[in-house]
Amino acid sequence: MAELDDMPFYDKPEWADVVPIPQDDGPNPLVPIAYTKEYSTTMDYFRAMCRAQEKSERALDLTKIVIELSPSHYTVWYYRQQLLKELNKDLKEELEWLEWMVNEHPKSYQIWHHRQVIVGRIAQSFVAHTTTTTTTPTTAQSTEAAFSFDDLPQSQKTAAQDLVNSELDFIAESLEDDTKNYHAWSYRQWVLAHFGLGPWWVGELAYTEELIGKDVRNNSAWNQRYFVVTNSPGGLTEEGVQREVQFAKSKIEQTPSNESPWVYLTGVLRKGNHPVTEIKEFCEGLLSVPRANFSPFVHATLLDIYEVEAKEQRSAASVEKAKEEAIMLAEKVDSIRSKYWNWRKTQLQKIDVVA
Amino acid sequence: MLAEPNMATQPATTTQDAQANANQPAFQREKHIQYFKRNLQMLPEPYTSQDTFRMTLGLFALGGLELLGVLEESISEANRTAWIEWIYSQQRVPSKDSPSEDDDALYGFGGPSSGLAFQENTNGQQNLGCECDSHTTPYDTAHITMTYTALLSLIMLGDDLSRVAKEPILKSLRKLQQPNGCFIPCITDYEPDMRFVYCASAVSYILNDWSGVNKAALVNFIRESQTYEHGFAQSPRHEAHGGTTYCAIASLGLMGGDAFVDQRTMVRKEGETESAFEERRARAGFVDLEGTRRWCLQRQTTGFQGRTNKPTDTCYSFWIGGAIAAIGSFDLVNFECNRGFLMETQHKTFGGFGKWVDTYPDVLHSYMGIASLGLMGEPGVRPLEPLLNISKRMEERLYNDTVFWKK
Repeated sequence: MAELDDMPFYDKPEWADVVPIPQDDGPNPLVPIAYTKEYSTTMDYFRAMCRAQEKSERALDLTKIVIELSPSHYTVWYYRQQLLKELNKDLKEELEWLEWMVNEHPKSYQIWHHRQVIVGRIAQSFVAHTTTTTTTPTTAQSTEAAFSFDDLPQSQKTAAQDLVNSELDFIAESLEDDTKNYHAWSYRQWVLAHFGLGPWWVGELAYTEELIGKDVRNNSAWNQRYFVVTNSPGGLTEEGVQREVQFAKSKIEQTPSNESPWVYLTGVLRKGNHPVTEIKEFCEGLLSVPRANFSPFVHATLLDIYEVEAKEQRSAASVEKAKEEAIMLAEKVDSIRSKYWNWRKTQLQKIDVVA
Repeated sequence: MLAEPNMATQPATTTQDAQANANQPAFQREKHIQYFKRNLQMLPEPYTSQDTFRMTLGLFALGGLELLGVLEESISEANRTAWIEWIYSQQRVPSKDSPSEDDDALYGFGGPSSGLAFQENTNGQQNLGCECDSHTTPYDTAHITMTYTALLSLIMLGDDLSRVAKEPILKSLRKLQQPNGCFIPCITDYEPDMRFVYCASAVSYILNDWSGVNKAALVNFIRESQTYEHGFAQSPRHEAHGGTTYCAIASLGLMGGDAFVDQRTMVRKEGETESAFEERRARAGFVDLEGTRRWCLQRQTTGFQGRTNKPTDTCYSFWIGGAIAAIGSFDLVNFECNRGFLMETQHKTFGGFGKWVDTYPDVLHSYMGIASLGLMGEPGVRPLEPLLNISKRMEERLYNDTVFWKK
């Protein structure tokens, strides 16, 4: 709302009929805040609007002012959502304003959630007559599909695709400023899943590869990759497991002391029901690679592997190898966690072995 | 009572620890006391953006002084009773004459800015908060985070919780829980996530009544939120995160019993049927407790990071430290490195703690920094109970002096 002059809204004639409601904080409040006069007066008018539950353009304008002063206010967004519906406002315009707001407050839960509500509403409007069970736009269930993409008529498929693609583009742009923004990533997961198993899943694996290529330590991108391979159409196949194992190994070779590909690798193996012992040769091979031999993750994974072997084969030799790894970790390569690695060593003592 | 193994902490009593501490910047205890006192009196203008969450800010200021052992002497009797009244004035309760089921979701404690009239004790009638009547709107709603922090703040101020409207709060919890087990914080904010799972659990524990919560669904949501990294995310499939890991683990700890068990290591008992075993497994909160221990401990680089490959931040010394304490492994934390980092994030001029070195302090990071020191047995800081994030002294007060627990 562009101000032509500096007059605060509450001094303008169109607000003269409103009786502002002051905050009644009592005679001796706990942790009072040193509000500016502008803020407390704005809120006095906002309280009046809420009390009257007024549905008007000026109320809508006021919600924007309040949001810009206090984005985490826990009722103003709801009021705005009701007003947008009641006044039948253009939701695409709302998305544009939200784009600006997200740049100002990238870590605001409420701004991202409001976008989700608005996009959910836009989607509802063009699939209003499908027979699929839908969640209402105000309930936020991550990765629960509200639509079955395949069941949509062609015109709505196109509309869904356009909407999803523009949201994915918006999120990608936002992620350029902060590649690990938690809200951006969780909203991205919602967008991908909410509209069902559509074609947008196809490009997402490549997107995670692109981001990992730019920053191999971006754990959010690795988490997203796990999300994609385990949730996209068809789920995680054996072929997918092998592909992901190779991908993770290649990144480990690139940065052996980077935690992200290690935990991704063992996660994928587990998901695909492969034992961690399968990567024993790979890990042992890294011991003779100059940078890798000091990676705490090489030694921690070998410790896990030898421990598993010790238990399965009741092998004293495996216990010894595991102990050596624990000592290496405690004393040399991961000494900040020496108490933990020494504790792991004592656990090894408990393994039942035949000599 | 919370079981001892969940609260394993280790005081810094060894000569080696004392020597290490002596080489670090000093703990500015007096400065922090002044910092909390100033903020208790008046929060500076930048806190305006957190206006509706003032109850949480009040808890951090009160809690900070309490952990530093100076709360009672820092507050006049007039302030103590006035602030108790202020807190009760934020309580939303059913109308005595015509309580409506429609208002069930609104009950509990809320922010102070909705315009509800401040309630006073009048004519011998005690202030019980604001009655929801025909003039009440959804914008007057309570908020689960404020309910949780109000209850703890009342305990801090020495109130016995006798004016807390328990049944209405439990009704609101039932309205706020989602089909997948998670909680939204209030009806004007449909954002379910792990933070509010913790608030619901803490409220239920303090009220000593879990009938407002579907525990099976709650545990299932928590378990589904454990990621391939073995930390816990905000919701299923999101990234493992320190804050939400604390919320998940502390919730399981508060529920106790079957919830605080590792599914992977469970074995069928003698004579137990397959279906009974599966039912018991379903109540287990952890998919891999050992993995969680490892993930949490791996977050320590000096202080703690909140996610893999992210920078350290003061508050994770509590979120991750508290989670580790809750699973009984705090003795495995590197005390020296954690303390060294915290000493650096103290603000040299203003007191308090910022999130990083050379950062302005805020009451949340200040409380969390001191809470982590409380886990490590720092002299001058009261020992901390990690599941409720209050001192053990306040935990005792909950059991001995408040109406929902005392015999």
